[in-house]
Amino acid sequence: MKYFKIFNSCKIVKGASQALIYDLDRVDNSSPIPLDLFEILTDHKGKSVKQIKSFYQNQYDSTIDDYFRFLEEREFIFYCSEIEKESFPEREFNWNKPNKIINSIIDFDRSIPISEYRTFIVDLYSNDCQVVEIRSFVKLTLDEIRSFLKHFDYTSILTVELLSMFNDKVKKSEIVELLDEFPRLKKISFYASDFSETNGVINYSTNKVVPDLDCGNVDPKYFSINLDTFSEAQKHNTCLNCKVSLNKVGQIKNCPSMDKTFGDFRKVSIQNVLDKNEIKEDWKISKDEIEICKDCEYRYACTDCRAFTDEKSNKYSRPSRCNYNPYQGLWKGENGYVDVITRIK
Amino acid sequence: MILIISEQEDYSTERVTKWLDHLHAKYFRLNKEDPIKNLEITFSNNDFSINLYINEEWLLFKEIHSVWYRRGELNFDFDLTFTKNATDSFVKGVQYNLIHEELKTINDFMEHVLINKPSLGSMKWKNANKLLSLLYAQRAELEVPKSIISTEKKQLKTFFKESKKDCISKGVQDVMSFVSDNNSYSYATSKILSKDIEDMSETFFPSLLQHNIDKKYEVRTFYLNGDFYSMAIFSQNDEKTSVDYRNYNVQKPNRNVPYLLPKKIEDKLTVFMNSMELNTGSIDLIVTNNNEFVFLEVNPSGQYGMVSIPCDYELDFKIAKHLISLK
Repeated sequence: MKYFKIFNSCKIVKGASQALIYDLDRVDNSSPIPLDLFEILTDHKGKSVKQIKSFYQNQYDSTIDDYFRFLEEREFIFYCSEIEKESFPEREFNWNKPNKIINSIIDFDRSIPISEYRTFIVDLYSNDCQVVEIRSFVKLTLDEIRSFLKHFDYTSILTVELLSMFNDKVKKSEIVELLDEFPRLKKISFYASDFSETNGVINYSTNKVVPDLDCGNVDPKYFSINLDTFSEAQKHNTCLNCKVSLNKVGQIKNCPSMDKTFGDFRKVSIQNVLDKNEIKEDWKISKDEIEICKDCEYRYACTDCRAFTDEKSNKYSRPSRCNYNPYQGLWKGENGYVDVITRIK
Repeated sequence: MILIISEQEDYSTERVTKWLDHLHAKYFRLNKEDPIKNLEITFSNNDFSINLYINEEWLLFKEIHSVWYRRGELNFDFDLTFTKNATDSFVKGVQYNLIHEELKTINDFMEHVLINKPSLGSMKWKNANKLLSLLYAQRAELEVPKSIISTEKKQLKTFFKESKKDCISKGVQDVMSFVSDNNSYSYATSKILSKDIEDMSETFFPSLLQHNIDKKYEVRTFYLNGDFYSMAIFSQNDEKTSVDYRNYNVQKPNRNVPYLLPKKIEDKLTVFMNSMELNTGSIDLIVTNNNEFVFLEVNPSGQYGMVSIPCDYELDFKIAKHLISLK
């Protein structure tokens, strides 16, 4: 007798209208599945196909065969023998990191001279920060970009991303040189540009955005299906966890778009802020606790947003910039889509 | 203080030191790239001390309470200067005797002192001998692949026939890697065809052949002081990785899942590791279609991240805690 096992890197997440197999090894192989297949994979975990068929009184044999053909073809499952049944324990999805913080957003509008940010960036580095995004409300000059990036020299911060209002005086060839000069710079994007062009690294968009207001959008293009996000999302907020940011006037915040502030970075250290724990309040709001999101099959791939929600007074309110209705399995624009809020009312 | 001997680029060391920071443990990281600029060894009144000057800091052996030998070696950086009229053969002679013999004696002495401190990993096995590990595995009653190392075509041919013409070849060690004319070369296990043997001259450089073992999956297990952290690698579903999972397929990575070895196999492996005097290492095994376990090799300083991450074993954290607990 052969018993089926789901590969550990394939996690099935149930939503209200369908389930999603997250393929954490092969992102593009991830696939939505109907709820009855979800039932087979969970309620009948570890059984043989024959046992499953007979459970359903052999009434759905051909459907079950189809399902298993699909699972085999996509390599979501494997079969093991009787003696191996106990040899494949399920993995846990813990998320423990020694880092005090992991990422940061720095908003900039020239009200503070760039030279003053060096202390904050060194402070980020000494608290193990890995990724920093700089968002500028003004047209950065090449010299300004360079002065910002120089602050990261001799730190262990791995990645810097930059978003700025488009400046026609900064040529693309100069940006290419900049990427060479500063290997930490992994992505540079310009908004309010007169043309649009993108290659993932250097991006121009004609959209006129306000960095701290035009954030928190929920869209499949922002989903990340991978082991790290999946593990983190089990018990943490994938946007706010281990994040310490600055708004444009230098106030320390969890996210620059949120209300709470924890002091001016020129007066308090990150360590000081972390010691008080207040900034960590929202770090553990997981998608399983958020209204409506908890019924969505995309919840462990989605970046949450706590700044723009349906009800400001409710800590667990749905991100208002989400255009997916998990009860229908439909995105806005798709035939028959109903706004999820309308449905509830 | 914990002494960590490693290499600059080693990511595992980086992760473990982050945890040591987090756990407020004191450590000194000594990379093979860090030149030892100055040293002091003193013997006095039934006592001795060793101090090394590295990166503008003195490392006092007295303060080392445990050692993690991850990889690499001590890097002595002492220049010899010669008078202008020294002849080549004089320079060679002095260099050989001073650099090789004098420094080697100092190095061996220090290694000896470090080996005798509570440690994880050991400098003794800097170069794990694959053949020796096969011998010890056999003695621990583990099954090993039928193998031959020979310099004669005739012998290889006979061995090849016995294997039903199903053999693989690999290096007797696998640390080779070099770049030449923009191509990079490294060892990989590959299948042998009749033609390969026909094309060989009558005698040649010692070459290793092994019977190819039909495998259901491979198991890599990380051994940490008596505990096994195992993972099954389903390399058989992919042409590219079926002979050696290290021929990674980036587009379609192998499925890796947490795995529990049978107690009987773990016990034999424990005997094996003890006989090798190893308290850590990455062990590769094959599980055949008949559910037999065949020992392939042990790598005392192998990468364990590839086991830790897919199986959520949190080995960086476990190693950090183990280093702190060493007494």
